[in-house]
Amino acid sequence: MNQKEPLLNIQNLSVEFRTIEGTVYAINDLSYTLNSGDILGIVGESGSGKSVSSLGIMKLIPNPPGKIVNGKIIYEGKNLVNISEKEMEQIRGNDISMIFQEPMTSLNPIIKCGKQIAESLILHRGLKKKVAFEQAVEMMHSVGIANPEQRAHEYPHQLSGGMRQRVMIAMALACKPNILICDEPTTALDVTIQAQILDLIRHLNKEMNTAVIMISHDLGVVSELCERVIVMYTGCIIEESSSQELFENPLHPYTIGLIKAIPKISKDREPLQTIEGVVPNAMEKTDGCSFWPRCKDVMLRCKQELPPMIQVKQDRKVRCWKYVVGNRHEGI
Amino acid sequence: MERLRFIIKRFALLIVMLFGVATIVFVLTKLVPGDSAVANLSQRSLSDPKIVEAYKVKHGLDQPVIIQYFIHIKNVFKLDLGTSMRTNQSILYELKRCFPATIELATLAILLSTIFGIFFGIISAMKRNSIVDQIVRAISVLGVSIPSFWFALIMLYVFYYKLQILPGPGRLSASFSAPVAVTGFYMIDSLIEGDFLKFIDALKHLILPASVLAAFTMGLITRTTRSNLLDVMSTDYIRTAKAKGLSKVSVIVSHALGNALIPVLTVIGLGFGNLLGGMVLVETIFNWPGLGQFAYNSVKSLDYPGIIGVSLLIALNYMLINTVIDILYGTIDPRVRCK
Repeated sequence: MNQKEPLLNIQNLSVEFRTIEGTVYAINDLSYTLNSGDILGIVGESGSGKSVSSLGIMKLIPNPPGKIVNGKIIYEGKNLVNISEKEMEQIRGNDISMIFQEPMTSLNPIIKCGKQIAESLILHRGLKKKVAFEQAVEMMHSVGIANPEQRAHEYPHQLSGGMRQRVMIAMALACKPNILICDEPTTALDVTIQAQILDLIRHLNKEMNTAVIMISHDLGVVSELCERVIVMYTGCIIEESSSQELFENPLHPYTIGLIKAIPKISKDREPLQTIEGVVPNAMEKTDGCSFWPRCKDVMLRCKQELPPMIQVKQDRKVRCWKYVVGNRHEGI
Repeated sequence: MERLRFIIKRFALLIVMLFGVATIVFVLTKLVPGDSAVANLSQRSLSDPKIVEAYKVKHGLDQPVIIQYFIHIKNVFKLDLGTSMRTNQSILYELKRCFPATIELATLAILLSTIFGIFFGIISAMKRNSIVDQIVRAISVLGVSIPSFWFALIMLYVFYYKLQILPGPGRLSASFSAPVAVTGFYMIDSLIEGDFLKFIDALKHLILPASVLAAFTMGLITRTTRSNLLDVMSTDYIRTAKAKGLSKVSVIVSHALGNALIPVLTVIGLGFGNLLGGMVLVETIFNWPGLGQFAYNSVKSLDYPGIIGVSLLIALNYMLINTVIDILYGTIDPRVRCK
């Protein structure tokens, strides 16, 4: 592997859910890369495919009805789409880990917290039960759980939401994975706990050099934590940028709308900005850009052709006809 | 200790419930139309008012109902269930005689149905909507809906009459004498006697009636296991377990089963209670001298003490089983323990 090779390289990934009512095109032609030590943010509304894309990396999309129909997920030279379930089990929880949105329901209610963490150590590191449990306690300590010896012997229902999310993080990081996927890890938590968990993730990213994919619909969370951000809409990436630039100078009309829709605390009370319309039905594949019915700058071409991903600058991509030379009707 | 207090509390509750059951059973027997004297005395004795009077005095039927009730409650708590009007034996003796036969049968039946039910349930859930699943589901529906007397006759016809690989009705073959009653369970008693052949014979006699009885409960257990396992498999914590890299089998064994089997425990408990109540039809067809036969005979001859004795025993079974299930619930699910 040469040095420029990214840790994770997703190419043209498409995921469909074949249901009785019809096919849902959850992910369309998704491509991005993740370098080791990166923190990448993925933002989008509910149903934009951000969770499905991460479950796709773990190959945990419920199948049936979900299926990866196209594309590659290259990790350490292996295409995860093609490898066997056995090989994938070696990677899950060991190389790539995941934290989920719901700490209240994501832990097994009848197994002690410590044991749930120790399990992956026993599985991937081949540790003896007792040693694994001791390491689990250590792990709980390092994610900021007070009294880890006692907590390790408690059941999930005895812990608060924030504590449970810490247990989840300890579990995900137990085997020191290369990639940690966080699927809205703070959505179900209080704001103060949210900040603590984000701090913890940042800290662990620095300390263990774990690459993080942070999925969120909360732009605040993403801007605080991530260096690079991907904006998703109806299963497509519509904009990719550094975090700072995205917030200072959003390009895609959808991103502009999203950032305008963040409530601001200022002296003057202004009505909250919204994006008109609703997310289109993912069962209908349109020829044009999926955002055009809600777009303020819509042109004829938007309705007819899907815009390509346009490299505007280095590390700056957008999927919008506005930025194609010849279509430009306002300066960037 | 928290746990011990929970258990003691459950047992204290048992006594209260037993009192309630004793009352209800008494009221019910008094509400049943019919005269016990008519049912038990011969036509000639009935024509003599003195004999009828003596019969009523002997069994306390001449007392006002309320007095009868208090005597009944007092006796129940003294474990004195009276004398059978039909056999003239003490009810306790009668129950001791026939209950082990039923326990032996019910235990084997519940073991069979639990093992196969859970196994089929897991297979069915793992291979959801496959041919295997369809077959298992068909079998479980069949098990639940097939009439037991018909199934019993078919089983006897096939395995006893046609194939001749299993013995027919009764608890032992004619070549063996009943083992000396220590526990009342033929399988245990024959082992105590050291007669291994008798043990095998007793076991062989159990297989057919136990299988017939197991069919119904197995169907229930299969269906409950399947649906609960499917529910659990779609929960977030199973996704977490998969994300850890556990294989499908370990996800099911160490994460899903414990959670899925909690409701199945209730079904097993109720099924066992039901079986311990004695299955009249199956016991009759297999000539099994168990509780079902005793209950049937007691009702037929309006043997009040007999009816009351059987009813109390059945109620006590259910209460004990439920208590055990409650305690097991607490053992498996920590959330139950701390309420």
